[in-house]
Amino acid sequence: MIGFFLLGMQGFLPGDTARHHRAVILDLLQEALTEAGLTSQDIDCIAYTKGPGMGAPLVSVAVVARTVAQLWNKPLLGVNHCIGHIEMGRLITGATSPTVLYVSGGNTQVIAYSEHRYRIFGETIDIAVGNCLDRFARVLKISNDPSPGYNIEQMAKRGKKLVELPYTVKGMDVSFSGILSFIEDVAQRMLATGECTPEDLCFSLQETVFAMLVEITERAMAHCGSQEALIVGGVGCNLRLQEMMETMCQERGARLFATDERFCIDNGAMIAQAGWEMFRAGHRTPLSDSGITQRYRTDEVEVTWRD
Amino acid sequence: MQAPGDGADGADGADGAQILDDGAGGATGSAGSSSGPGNPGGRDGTATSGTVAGEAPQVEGASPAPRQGGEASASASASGEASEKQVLEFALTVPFLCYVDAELTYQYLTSSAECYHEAVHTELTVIGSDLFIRLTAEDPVLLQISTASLLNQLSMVVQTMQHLVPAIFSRPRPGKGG
Repeated sequence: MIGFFLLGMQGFLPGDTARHHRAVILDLLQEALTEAGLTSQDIDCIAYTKGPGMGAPLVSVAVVARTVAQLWNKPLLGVNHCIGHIEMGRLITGATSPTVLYVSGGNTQVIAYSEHRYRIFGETIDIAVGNCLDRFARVLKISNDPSPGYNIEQMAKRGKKLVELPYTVKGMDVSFSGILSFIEDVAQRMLATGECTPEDLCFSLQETVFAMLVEITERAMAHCGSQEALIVGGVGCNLRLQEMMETMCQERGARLFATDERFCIDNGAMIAQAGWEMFRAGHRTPLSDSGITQRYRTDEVEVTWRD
Repeated sequence: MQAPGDGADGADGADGAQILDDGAGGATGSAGSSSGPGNPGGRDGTATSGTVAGEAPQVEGASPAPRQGGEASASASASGEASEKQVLEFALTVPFLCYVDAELTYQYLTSSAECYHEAVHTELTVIGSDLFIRLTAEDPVLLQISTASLLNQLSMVVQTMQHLVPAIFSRPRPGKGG
């Protein structure tokens, strides 16, 4: 997250992010080995993020992963980032077969497992919910420290007025670009006229977008007959989202699973966890197929490690 | 030994040959020229992976001027005599100290096709312990971007090899390249 602070109000820029990764990755690798008390001989396989995501940063890490795999003569495993979140969530919470709400700055999907695939039942048709929140934070010049989403959440707790915002659910899918455009247009005017406070806008935005997510998750749970829901991804840290999801689950007699920021936010351990599952199931990524895929769909992976 | 310096990413563009700063050794190359080493006729098929058994690769800053024995020439685009569809070229020779190092780097770069725009033609060849790299394209911007991407990856491969096999790289190397 170092890059997030340094980039100020721009968000993650691929070039700068890639440069950051290249600058720290080898020292980080060595530090991880040292802290774990391991050597290359103790490593079973090398897992890296194959996608989805920004191309330059993905390549920066894939370079090292491939080179390390060749130098150490270890199997290589290209992992889907979304599946990394799911497998980490399942591991940490113990959820067996949940309907997954995956919400982050780059992805918004409702996923359920069926016949060796993580099927996407619903998703955003434009921007991710985290992206919507982050860009809204820029409109109000909300600090990035520690993260815009966290600061929106804290401000929302002090909101008192619900401002009506565009609510866009299209079947199983959601759309956030409209609500973002709307709030970008009206925010300054409403604040200037005293119609509402920044806290009211934060509160209203959260209530609206989270309600949309709860709706499509519940619809997927009803379709699948699922009694478990799991929230993963950075936006999953939001306690208000967890609270709204919990209410929905209770009404359905279902159980909600969620993690804290250690496991919600992107982390290397989740890639390792998914890679480990893949390795044990016999997956191997040949060098010829070890590129990165910016648009790597969750349902492209054959999940052979589950029944 | 210092690894090649960081280059530009994405649309920032870079003069690929000049991204390489003082580093581990020598590399010849030129940017923007209309001719280069071409295909020296070396092996460029798939090879088995290997571990680093030799010494450190040597990559030094590439001069924009043609080197002794090099086939690169000044950019034809600057001459004013270019045809309408001029093919621009970036060529680089990276002398590694053993075949295994060159082969490992070759295998990595050949599997990174997604990083090069489809309009940029990439040729990679290993002859002995030298890795020949040649990128050609009609669009100078695309060529510049692909060159920067390739050099970034080359830099990371070399840095990774240096980092993980320090004992080998700490041995004094005979003068080679440059």
